[in-house]
Amino acid sequence: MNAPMLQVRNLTVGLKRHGQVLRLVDGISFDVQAGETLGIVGESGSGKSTTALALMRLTPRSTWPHTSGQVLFDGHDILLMEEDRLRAMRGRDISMVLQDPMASLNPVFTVGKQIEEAFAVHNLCAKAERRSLAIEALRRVRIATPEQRVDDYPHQMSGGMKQRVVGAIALACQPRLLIADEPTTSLDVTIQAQYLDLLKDIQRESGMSMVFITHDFGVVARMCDRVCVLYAGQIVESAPVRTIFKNPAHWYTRALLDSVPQLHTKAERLISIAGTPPQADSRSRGCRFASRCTNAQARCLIEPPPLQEIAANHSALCWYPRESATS
Amino acid sequence: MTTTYLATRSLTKHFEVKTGLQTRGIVRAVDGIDLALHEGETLGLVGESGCGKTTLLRLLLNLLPPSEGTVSFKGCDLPALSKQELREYRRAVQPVFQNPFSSLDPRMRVDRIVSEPLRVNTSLGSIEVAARVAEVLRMVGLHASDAEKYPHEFSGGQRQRIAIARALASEPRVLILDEAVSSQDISIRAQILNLLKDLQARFGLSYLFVAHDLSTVRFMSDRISVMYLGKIVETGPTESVCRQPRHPYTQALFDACLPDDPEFPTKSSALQGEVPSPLDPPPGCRFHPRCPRALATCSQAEPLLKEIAPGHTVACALY
Repeated sequence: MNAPMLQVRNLTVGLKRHGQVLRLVDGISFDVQAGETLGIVGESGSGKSTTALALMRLTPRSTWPHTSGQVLFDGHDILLMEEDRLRAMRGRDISMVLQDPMASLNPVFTVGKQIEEAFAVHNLCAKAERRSLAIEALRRVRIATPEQRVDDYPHQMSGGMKQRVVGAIALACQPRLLIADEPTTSLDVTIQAQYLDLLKDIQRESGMSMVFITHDFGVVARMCDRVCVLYAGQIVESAPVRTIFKNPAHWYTRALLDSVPQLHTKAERLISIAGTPPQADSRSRGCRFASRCTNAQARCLIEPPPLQEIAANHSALCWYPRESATS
Repeated sequence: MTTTYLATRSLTKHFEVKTGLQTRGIVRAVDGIDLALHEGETLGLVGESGCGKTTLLRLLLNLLPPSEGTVSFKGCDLPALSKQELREYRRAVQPVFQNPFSSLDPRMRVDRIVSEPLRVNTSLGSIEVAARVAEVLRMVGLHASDAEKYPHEFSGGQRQRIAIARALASEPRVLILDEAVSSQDISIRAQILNLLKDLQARFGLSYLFVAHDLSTVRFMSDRISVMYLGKIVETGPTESVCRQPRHPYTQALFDACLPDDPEFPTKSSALQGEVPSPLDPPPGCRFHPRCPRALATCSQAEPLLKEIAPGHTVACALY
């Protein structure tokens, strides 16, 4: 087997606040193989968006002194790369789609101009060809009559179409890795389904890898091959998608799945997790989930839990992983 | 016989769209809606953005005057209510909005926020008001001492609890929940949904529960109504609608839902295109241009709601 396309090793991103370094992301490691989709699931404040930004070194400058670890893309560390080389890579080898299409698009330029920018920055083609390539990019994301739409301004488009344009920009240079940070959260259900199908189709055609950041287990079930569950800046469990749903080892993963209403079975009550996720400045010494965990023992409150191998490709950060998962 | 708290009769709201002095068209945001909310039940309202959900809620809350049709409270039309009765209506029908960061005034202390409906709509003295504030804060799982804090001292989930406490303060009969849990994290969402169910069981409240997430609507509702471009296309008991959705649009909504589990077969989204502009809705059935099962007649005659099973109505030419 080839080396993974993306290897993240012990990545930590911190921020200095009131003389104290807060670790937004705290020593996470994961791999992304060519052609696979990795899901990163977590609640707000768990560090998922910070992780997404760190993968392209787009985190704010104030966090740089407190960033450590490695983000290896094809073996080259993105965190140490020279600015020129990084700029050549962004948008070409690694690309990104964010949640809010309105915030990603510039209202004063036509969508065509904004797609052309991707070709111009990377100097991929002659100036005269850019427009036709932009039309081609719009066609790839299934926008009807792209020849006319290319001259539209963002405000002339619906939310779903704008998100497609953002997709067209991100995919313009046919990147090998797409980082998608909650790309469908602002879309309606039928539009969301269309968009997810579209990304799947493009992945099938081009073989690109995806890192899908989301809080929605439905998106994970639909899109991902493997899943990392993030809690308070740490990966508490990582496993293939079926294992996560059928047999999670970490109590947090189990509780999170139980608190989602199911479409196909009617429950009277949901099993909810008491309390709220800890703030970055008030995490406990031991397991960060201990205070909300139904199975916490004395040890969990004091000692940080070890990363336990449950099975091949399945690990959990827990002193006492769920029994059914280990047997 | 159960009381019907809120009902609408061919409720309609049209907005004129103007450029300068010229009227460019009319948006039929809500176009002839009949619905009823009975005592102690939850009616789920589902629809995509732009289908008129928000306008409908604003009409129900008497924040907008209808163009045609009426909203009635306990059988009396709103325009016919006296000042005293209107006050009673406002006390009994309370909203909870989606975003607790914009629905709570950052400069007001929690006790002022929560007591506002009492001060406006009831004649309680200040001691009684303070006692009631403490009581409702405890009901939603907060402490009575939280009354002295400001909204910024709370997390998103706690703020939504404050918004619910405010809605409960005046002992309402009906809560209008507009995407009340959509902005919350998964673990917090479950807490709030359970809280709402508990409060309903305890006080016999009626809920109009608006959400775009069908799984949540199914969990909460006794009946579900599906809205498309200003019209209700299907209404029925939750189990009936979820097990056997009849209208092609409802079916498409269910197909578009994300799976509970990776082993469920994924259906490809049958529904193409987007919701047409309400400024220029298609003739006949408003759904026909996107409908996978459209008949030739669908573009001409507008289908009326027809009862196809007990309490289950559908507006579609197929039935």
